[in-house]
Amino acid sequence: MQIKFQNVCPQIFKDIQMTSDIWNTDFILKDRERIQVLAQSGKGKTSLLYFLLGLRDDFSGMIFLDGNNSRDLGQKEWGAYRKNKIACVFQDLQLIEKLTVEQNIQLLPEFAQNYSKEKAYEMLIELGLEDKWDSRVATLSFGQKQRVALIRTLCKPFELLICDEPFSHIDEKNKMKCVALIERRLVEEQAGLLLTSLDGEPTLELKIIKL
Amino acid sequence: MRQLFFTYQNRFQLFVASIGVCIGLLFMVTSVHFLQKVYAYGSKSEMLSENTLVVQKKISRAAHLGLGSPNFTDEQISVLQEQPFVAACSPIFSNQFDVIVQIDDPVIPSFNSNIYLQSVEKQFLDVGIQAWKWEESNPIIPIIMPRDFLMMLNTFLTAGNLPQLSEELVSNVQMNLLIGPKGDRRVMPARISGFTNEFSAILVPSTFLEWANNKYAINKEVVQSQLVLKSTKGNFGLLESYLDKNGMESAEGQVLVARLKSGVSIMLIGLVCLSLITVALSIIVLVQYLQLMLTNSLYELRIMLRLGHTVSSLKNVFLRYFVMLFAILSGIALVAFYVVRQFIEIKLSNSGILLDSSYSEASFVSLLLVFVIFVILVNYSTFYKIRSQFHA
Repeated sequence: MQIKFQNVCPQIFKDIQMTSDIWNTDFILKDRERIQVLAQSGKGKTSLLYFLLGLRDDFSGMIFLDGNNSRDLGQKEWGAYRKNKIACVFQDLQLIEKLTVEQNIQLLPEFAQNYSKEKAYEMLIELGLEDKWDSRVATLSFGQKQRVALIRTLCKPFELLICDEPFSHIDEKNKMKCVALIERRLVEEQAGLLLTSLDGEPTLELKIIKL
Repeated sequence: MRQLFFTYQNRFQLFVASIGVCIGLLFMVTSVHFLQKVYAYGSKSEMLSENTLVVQKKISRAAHLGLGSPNFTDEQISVLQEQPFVAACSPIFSNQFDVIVQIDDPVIPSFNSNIYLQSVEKQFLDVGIQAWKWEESNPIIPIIMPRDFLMMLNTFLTAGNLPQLSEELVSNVQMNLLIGPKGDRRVMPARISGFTNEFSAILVPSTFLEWANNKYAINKEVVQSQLVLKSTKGNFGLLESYLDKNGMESAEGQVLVARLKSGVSIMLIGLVCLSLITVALSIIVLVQYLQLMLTNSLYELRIMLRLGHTVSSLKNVFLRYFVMLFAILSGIALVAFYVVRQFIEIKLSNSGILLDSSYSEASFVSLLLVFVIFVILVNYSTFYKIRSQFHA
């Protein structure tokens, strides 16, 4: 999946002559390319992800997804992108606290067709959460929730994986496990990666760009 | 997904809304059913037919002294016709010559009596009759007889130890009308075409009366001392007070019946309006509950949309749930309707009103209609609410 940014700038920065590797310039995220976006808070990392998911369109310039102008995409097209092409770990995780881990994972559309319960459980084991399968998300720590959110994101087909500060509350040991899982899934899906963080993630081979 | 959206909702609100819908549906189905049955019963028994009144000017001392005419002028009739509460108005013409009815039939004893004839426009007749006309070339005169006249005849027959006559039997009786002055009487065959409850005189076609009045009347001046009129629906009270104010009167029995007819019609219409309001309110309550449920689930809906669910697929979850709920509530309302219907029919039967006991199609059609409206409302309101979260 190729994404082209053409003079894109969030509306909130329109009065500031802001330039970076992405904002107010032309930038292409090539198919299967792995990029880490490094920026301090308030530089528009999350905005960038929201633009790519069609959750916001308050930006100037144009974004092309596989050659399609994002502004021309209808709800059906965005639905298809979210379902089959773009997987995202949100910064606020987007888990439903009152449901169990299993139920949260099963919220994925057509989960059973794309990924089995067993495979999801194996991922849980891989990240050391095997005893949390039936636990309500509300009872988990934030770090555990981050891992559950990551597993849910990886239990579906995708061409681009977007992770918005996915390891912020995960300790080094579990971060390594998460990175290994992401690496495996990227290879399996032959997908690209767009990861945002405040600082570097030395365990992944990433092209670093700055906002 | 069902668990996500429905398990954690406030069940008490749903329970209250469901009871509201159940009562509303029961009320609607019952009122529509009985509205149809009562109308069917009313039209068969003339209980709900249009109000037809025969009016005349009040007889005063002045009229006796020749100071006020008891007749209606053409101008007075046209003023009456223009009133908004008058649906139709026409003069009643009477015979201005002598008429004797003579029954000459082997089945019943011979009978002679002086009678009065009248003619009214066909639209005022309470008898379903096709061939209400008379031509000189076809001398048989169709007549409509007052039911009271037949009852009176039967009373005299009973007193004379003779068998009573049914309407069917009398309809086939050979009778003649002897018209004209003594010495110049003409015998004309007549046949009973129907029976009326509205008029107390024997009715004949206007063509016959015009012909006979021209030929035999001593005074050729047309007399219009009585009018027949119909009030517009629900306005009988206005007509009644107008007649009173303008010195006109009608038979007290007719006025009473007209008042009752107006009252029953208004009550039935009121009942239907009330049931429609109840159903509308109960549907609003349920749709409001749905909206509340959607508002409580906005966070979950946003997550589902972000995970790739379509607006339609999420909408269908709610639609299926509410359609199922409505179907169950309709079923409960129908069972309750069955019980209520039995109860009301027994009460009416005890009061002498025997309604057709079959189920009315209209009540089921109304239920289906409400169901369709409900589905459309749920479908659109859910779709737009969820869609508003797509880019959120």
